[in-house]
Amino acid sequence: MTATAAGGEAIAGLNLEPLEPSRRRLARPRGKSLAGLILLGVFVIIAIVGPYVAPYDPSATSGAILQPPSAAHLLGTTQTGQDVLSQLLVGCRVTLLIGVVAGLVATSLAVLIGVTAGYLGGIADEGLSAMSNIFLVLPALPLVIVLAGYLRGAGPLSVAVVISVTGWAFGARVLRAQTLSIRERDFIKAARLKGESVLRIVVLEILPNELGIVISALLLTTVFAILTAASLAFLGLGSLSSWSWGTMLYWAQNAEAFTIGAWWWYVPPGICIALVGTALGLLNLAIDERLNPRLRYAQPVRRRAATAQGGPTAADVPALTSGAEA
Amino acid sequence: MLREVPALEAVGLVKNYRQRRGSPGSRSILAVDDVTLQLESGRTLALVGESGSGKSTIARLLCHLERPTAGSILLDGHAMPARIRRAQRRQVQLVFQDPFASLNPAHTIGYHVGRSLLIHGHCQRRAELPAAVAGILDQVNLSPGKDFLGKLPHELSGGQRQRAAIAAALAVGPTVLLADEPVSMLDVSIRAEILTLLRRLTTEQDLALLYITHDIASARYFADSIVVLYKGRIVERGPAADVVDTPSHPYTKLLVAAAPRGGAGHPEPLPQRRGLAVAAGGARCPFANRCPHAVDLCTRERPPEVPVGDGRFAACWRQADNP
Amino acid sequence: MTPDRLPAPATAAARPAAEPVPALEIRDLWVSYNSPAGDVPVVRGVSLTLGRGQLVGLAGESGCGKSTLAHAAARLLPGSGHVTSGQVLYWPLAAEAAGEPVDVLRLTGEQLRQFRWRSLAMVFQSAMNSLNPVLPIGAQIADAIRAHDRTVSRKACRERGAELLDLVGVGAGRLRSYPHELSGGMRQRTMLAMALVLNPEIVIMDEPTTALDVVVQREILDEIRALQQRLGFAVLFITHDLSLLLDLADRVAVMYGGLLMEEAPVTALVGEPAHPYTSALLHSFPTIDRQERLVSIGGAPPAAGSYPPGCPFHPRCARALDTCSIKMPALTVRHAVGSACSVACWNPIPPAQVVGAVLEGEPGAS
Repeated sequence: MTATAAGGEAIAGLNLEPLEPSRRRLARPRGKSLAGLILLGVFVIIAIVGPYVAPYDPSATSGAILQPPSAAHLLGTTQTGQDVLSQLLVGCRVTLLIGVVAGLVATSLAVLIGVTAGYLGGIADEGLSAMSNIFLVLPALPLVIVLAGYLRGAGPLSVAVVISVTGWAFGARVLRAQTLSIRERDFIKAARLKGESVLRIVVLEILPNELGIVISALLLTTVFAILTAASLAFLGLGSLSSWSWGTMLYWAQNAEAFTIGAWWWYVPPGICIALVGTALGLLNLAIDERLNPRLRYAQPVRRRAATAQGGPTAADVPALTSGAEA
Repeated sequence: MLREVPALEAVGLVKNYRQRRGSPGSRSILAVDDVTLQLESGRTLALVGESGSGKSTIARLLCHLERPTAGSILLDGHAMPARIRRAQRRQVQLVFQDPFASLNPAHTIGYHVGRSLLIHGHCQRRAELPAAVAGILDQVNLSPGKDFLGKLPHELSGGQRQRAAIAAALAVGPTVLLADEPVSMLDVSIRAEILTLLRRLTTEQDLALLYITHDIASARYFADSIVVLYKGRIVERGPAADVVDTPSHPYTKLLVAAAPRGGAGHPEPLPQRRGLAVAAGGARCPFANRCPHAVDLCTRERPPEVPVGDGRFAACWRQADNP
Repeated sequence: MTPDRLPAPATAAARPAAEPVPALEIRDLWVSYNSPAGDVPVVRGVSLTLGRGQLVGLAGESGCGKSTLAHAAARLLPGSGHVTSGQVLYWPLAAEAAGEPVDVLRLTGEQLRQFRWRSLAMVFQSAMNSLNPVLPIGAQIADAIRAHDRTVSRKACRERGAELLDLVGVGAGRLRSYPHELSGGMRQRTMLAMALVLNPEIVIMDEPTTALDVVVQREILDEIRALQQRLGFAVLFITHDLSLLLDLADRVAVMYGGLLMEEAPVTALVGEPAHPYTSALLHSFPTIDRQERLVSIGGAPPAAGSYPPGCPFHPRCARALDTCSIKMPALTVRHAVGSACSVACWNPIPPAQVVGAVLEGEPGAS
């Protein structure tokens, strides 16, 4: 409530205005976001060109059974002589596709339900909240398994839809809470005062301010979807007809690859899943930092050269630890 | 220009906030208790009170952000219906206290002002919109207006943001402007120009201005008449200079005594915070438990507003005895 | 309860024997923050002296660096801030005879812990909202005591807490109350009590009354004054509301753009402000007694770190000369009314011309 809240003097540092969503302010990516983008980019490229650059048909069997990595098969072969690398490259597309589609569908549901519940309040809010609470409480994997049972043999898109049914509730809750808070802010009241319609307020006034959360929800739901799809495939549910990393793990586990030590079969898909998850996680962290400048400059400072004023030299000024506000 | 009917008149406004069922000890909070006031075109009324006095609630009631529990609001003599329509929103606009919260960070200044124009039909053709918006921005001294069209709120200083908020409110074309502590969150050196701007706009556009503040000194300086609010009730009203120079109600006297003197000699000691014990609820003067002049009557019955001079009224039993 | 075995400062200029020993002295302090543009100086060479038992007010608008200055002196800067040069010297009362000040910026570890709260305590902005909502205030006061002296028994903590709550006007009966059961004014008084718990010699208050109502604010200010006179601690009172300081402080320092513009006893500042900024500031708000035409300063205060070259005030100054945009004037001491005043200005207001300077500052379009 003080004038010092006015842009800039507050103790935590300079320029604390959160970076508002604006087309003009896409800063150059650096650090975490650069790493995340590059990593994700690699996999996106693989997803696109994978089937074309794969050295072998992933389903083609051969006589070279359970070979460790060699010149002919860079990641070795499976129990039926299939090339692991080809499976990896082709499987990338399905895995990513499921993840992205499920992420988009789930996030859209979350936005629709969460923001509506938050803004309308009253009965609508109670009803929609009850529904999201139910979906939140239902154990996700068993539910997916049950639903997937009805889709046995269906394609990856159906799997994606099934996964999104279980993945939207958390985002909806978060968005509802955020909407409840934004709804009370002065600029929403000002919009009502002007005579803006409810639809315009929700879509044009509230949503742009929740962009960060929506993007974060999208990224995290995508990770959740990829992991769930892999789990489904690993359990033998989901679409075994198309190659995905989860499918690879299923066949590997079926053939007891772990016991027989065929690490080249189960380690690569596992690592790839982890890397995609990491990439999305890094992007999420980067977006978090962009939206909350306080996280950006909290690093402690060591050994600064002082100006020549006869004051303490660099060795004298003790390292001020971060978070030193008593 | 003196009109027959006040631009905005509130009669017996009451606002009761009931706590949600299920919470322990459901009480209701009486934020506004029988408030009657008039806003005249071209003049400024100051509403002075501390936090909890209900002044912000009154502002929200007057611009129909919330509905009163009882009482009526008349615009130009006509009673307002319970559910207000968009066209009726035009007449009363509100300038919020926090310039950093009253503008949507995702939209440009041009958008904020432009929406006001578009919604209320002040600009029919899209092509004319930028010029119209720039014109209004020039009026609030955000010059040159066209330079501010594309700016986002965080690119402006506090004072500029408040001007932009005023511009957006003006663009609607109201007859009444409510300003809820418009300068309390701004730096001291730029407050005067915002207040001067509001006063200028009031006279130029014949607006009725309600200036809500906790700073009684600026109320005296800036407003024509003043209303002092305590716990949702009006305790004193009258011409601003008279009320502040010679306060009648003990609460007004307390406010004046507590105000900073600016180094002009020693501030006088505050009157003792000691009144009579009162039972919870029941009719009584709201100030009785803090008033050094309280008598038994003050704890039993609610004082009416009695005249205490030229156009001045105070809600005090002691004044009723000694006019 | 004073610290012992403190390091001698690297360079401590000898004080002239005639001058009374101050409690705290800030010498030419520079503080910067990290930012994508590199190091940004927010405080640029500020020197300030706090005498024993004095109440010195530090006034300034947003972006002037006053909060940063206080936090730097109290060694409470966040990770992104650091002192680039200057000294903060503290003269403990007990060690006065020895004449050796403590170099606050070089304290480490145990010495720093001893220094914090025993020698210098701080009441933060919106401190009343910083109370732990799940602990009774008595427990929080006890925490404050035990954090700096683990040997104190619980009973002694309780007694001290009761004593302090009585002292600040909250009442010992409130030891078991939770923060939400107290009003804003009472919570602020509780913060005051917590700051005084170890009898510090210096208390820094950063906007202690900003969120409070006028009446409560006045009561708390009176309380601070009374406590100060009773317990003898020095106060550095930071606020953007100059009007409070005029009734409260012994001396007032005015900060703008990371620099000190003027520093003087309060009567001299009000009667004969030398700096155009001070003068304009004094005439920019109405008081009950003074209702003449207000002056508004065109433009806006610069944001922290992005200060104009030369004197930071020159873009808004009615008395600006060409030199003002090139070079920042040093703080020069001049004597008025028998006590030292300083002003940093190339074109300060001569005493007789105060009224004229006011009229020059017309409210203009920004």
